[in-house]
Amino acid sequence: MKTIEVKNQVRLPLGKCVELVLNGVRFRLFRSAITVVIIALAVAFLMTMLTESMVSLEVGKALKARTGPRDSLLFWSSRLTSPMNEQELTGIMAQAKAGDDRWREFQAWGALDDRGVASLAENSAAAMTYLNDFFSQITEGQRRPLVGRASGAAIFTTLGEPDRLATFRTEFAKLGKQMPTSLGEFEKFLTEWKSLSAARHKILKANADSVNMARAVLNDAQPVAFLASGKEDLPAKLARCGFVIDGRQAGIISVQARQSLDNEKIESLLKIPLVQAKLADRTKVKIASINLGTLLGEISGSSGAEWLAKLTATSEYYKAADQLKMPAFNLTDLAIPVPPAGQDQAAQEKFKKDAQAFVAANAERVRQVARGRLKDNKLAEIEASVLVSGESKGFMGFSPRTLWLIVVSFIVCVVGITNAMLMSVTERFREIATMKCLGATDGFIMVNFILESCMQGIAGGMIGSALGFILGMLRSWVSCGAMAWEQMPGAVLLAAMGCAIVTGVLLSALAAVYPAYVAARLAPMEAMRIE
Amino acid sequence: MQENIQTQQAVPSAPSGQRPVIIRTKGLKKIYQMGQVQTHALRGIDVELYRSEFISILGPSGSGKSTFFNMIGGLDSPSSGRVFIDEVDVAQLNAVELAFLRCRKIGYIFQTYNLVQYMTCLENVTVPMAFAGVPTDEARDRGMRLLDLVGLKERWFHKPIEMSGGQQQRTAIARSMANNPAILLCDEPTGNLDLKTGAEIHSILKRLNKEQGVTVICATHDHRLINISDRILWIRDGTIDRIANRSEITVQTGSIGGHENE
Ligand SMILES: Nc1ncnc2c1ncn2[C@@H]1O[C@H](COP(=O)(O)OP(=O)(O)OP(=O)(O)O)[C@@H](O)[C@H]1O
Ligand SMILES: [Mg+2]
Repeated sequence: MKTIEVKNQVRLPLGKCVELVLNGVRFRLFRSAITVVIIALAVAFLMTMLTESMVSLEVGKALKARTGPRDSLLFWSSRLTSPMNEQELTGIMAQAKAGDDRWREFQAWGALDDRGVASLAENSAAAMTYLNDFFSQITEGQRRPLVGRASGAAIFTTLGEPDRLATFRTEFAKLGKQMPTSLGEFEKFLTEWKSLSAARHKILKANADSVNMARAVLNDAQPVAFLASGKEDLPAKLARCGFVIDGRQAGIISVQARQSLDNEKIESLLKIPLVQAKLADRTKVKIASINLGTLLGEISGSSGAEWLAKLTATSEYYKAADQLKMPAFNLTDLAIPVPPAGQDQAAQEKFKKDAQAFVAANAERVRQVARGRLKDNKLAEIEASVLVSGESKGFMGFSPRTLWLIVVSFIVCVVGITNAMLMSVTERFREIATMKCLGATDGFIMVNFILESCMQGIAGGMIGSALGFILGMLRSWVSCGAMAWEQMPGAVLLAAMGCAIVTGVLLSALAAVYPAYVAARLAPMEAMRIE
Repeated sequence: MQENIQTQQAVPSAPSGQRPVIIRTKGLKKIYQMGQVQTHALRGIDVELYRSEFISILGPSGSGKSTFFNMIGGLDSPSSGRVFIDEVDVAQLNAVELAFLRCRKIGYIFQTYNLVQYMTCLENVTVPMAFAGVPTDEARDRGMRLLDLVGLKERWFHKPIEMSGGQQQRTAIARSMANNPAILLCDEPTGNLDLKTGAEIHSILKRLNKEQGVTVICATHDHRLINISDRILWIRDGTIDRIANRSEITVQTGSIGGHENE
């Protein structure tokens, strides 16, 4: 005889659940595939955005390294001709590192020791933080009552006056905004700023003197030409004016300066109608549509470069250039051979040889300069696109628009999965009810459905993140060219892939909660119903 | 069939009080509310069903047989009244205990077989064992023994879709016996089967009842089942019309539905 004794139902081990679910998924492969595709699409979208944003960040960093020399040249050309103002000084000082060139300049100009420069640098860094994070963030209208007409570093000097500070305090309280630090901290900074004012002005004065000396040395020549004048003596030349530059940086800048001069020379060729006409003839482009790109494109190949070198060695060219008062075309550090004065046969022979060598060397240099210039153009293009895409960086490097799109794609995904799962639950009413008659607990049914969804989430997540990675790389490739592959941050992207998969699983688990709840609540007597 | 009737006659009728009661209901009522319309599916049923007996429940369509089954099987809760299974008040059990009850104490057999389509015959039989925590190897052995019992040992790897209705129902019977239940609840087990196959199912049920002492409760329209039942219960319009021992109604069955018996 059997006696009935009721206990708690055992809990099914996870392994058994997974086994049962896999069995079912295999049976409903088509429906599962649809769910997987939905998840894959959402995850792919996320992953594309992640890949693009991360690659563009890396490319941006790399660009900075590559365009560094260009920026250094610009920096040096301007600082040799125009003295710094307080605002610029503060910006540069905030970036100065102990012992680097600027640091040593400040030491010399301000007659300061390391401690002195350090306190200046620290104070300047704080100043930049207040400017960037507070004063630039409020509108002109909001700033007026606080500091009057002052802008930039002058704000801090203005607030050094006690009555202006008092106004600032009351107006700031009215504004109801946050400073990067507490107000007390800010006031401490202002006192410091005031006490360092003498040192700053001493530096500015010394800088102005250095610029005057440099101007005298330049003697109306372009600063670029001066900087191109050989890297060995450049530090010494600059040191005489009071500027500090190390040998390595001087080397980089002089190379960059020479390239810049070469570029100018090649560009100036286009001013000569003869060159325009010949180029139009050669490239079969109308004279009116000839531009620098046409020239660069043509002479970046060796035959084009040779053509230009030969053209610029003809008497026809000399005549045309002479009319425009342009010097003979030679690239920097190539010496034009001088024709011999007498009738000496040997000298004539040597000149002929030299001239040929000059044309060949010019051709080779022309080609290199053109290539370098084209590469620079491409970099500038990438820079622009990276800057645009990097504009208004928000959460995780996404713009608010992208973030919004991602959120919408997630919502659509969750709704889609919920719908698919609900349909699946409805179809399986009898099966679920039967399972309950056979002893399945509500918890098991719930876990069953969520597990099923999670498995689809894993599959969809993996497919989606792979797809998204490929798409993202392709899109980066279009905008950044080969740099996208060179700068691909492998480890970070792998981590992003992991995150994308986890996101897929979480989304599908979330989407399954309601259908699973519906299934779990189903009355077991539904099994008895006959359609 | 013939021998079933003979063995049937050997079982003595069971007067109340002599055999232990396994299911008892008290004032069982069920009202389905559908919008404004109320359907009184059960209007107060008091009945005692004994351990190891074979009971048929008869009644016209819509009389409340399935509703009664849901109540005594712990599948649905009554609007009022109580169900005691082995003196345990079903209403007092929580969800997990109910699952335990359904898993081990009661076996269900449905008119539509309700096998899980994506599982093989053997897998279907072992599902309740998995829920009961039986180790896989043991479950497989026991499953094969049960399939042998219903004559489907050779077909253990077939999917339901590859089996006939009778074979599916036999699988369902094997499944219902998976955890050695004390009660088998069969709601029109032969409703979708032809006469011959139905008879096979009947004999299997009778055998389980006799050999294993399982209480078999069958709702049916099939009058042949009367011949193998210990007691017959008529439900009409949600109330018990009549309860009779098999021996008491032989004459009537003969006169009312004699042609159905053979
Ligand atoms: N879920 C439900 N909701 C509303 N009414 C229901 C529900 N289930 C059953 N009923 C009603 O309860 C009454 C009894 O139904 P039940 O299914 O118990 O009959 P039955 O005796 O099993 O009939 P059959 O022999 O046709 O299976 C019927 O009038 C039916 O319409
Ligand atoms: Mg029914």
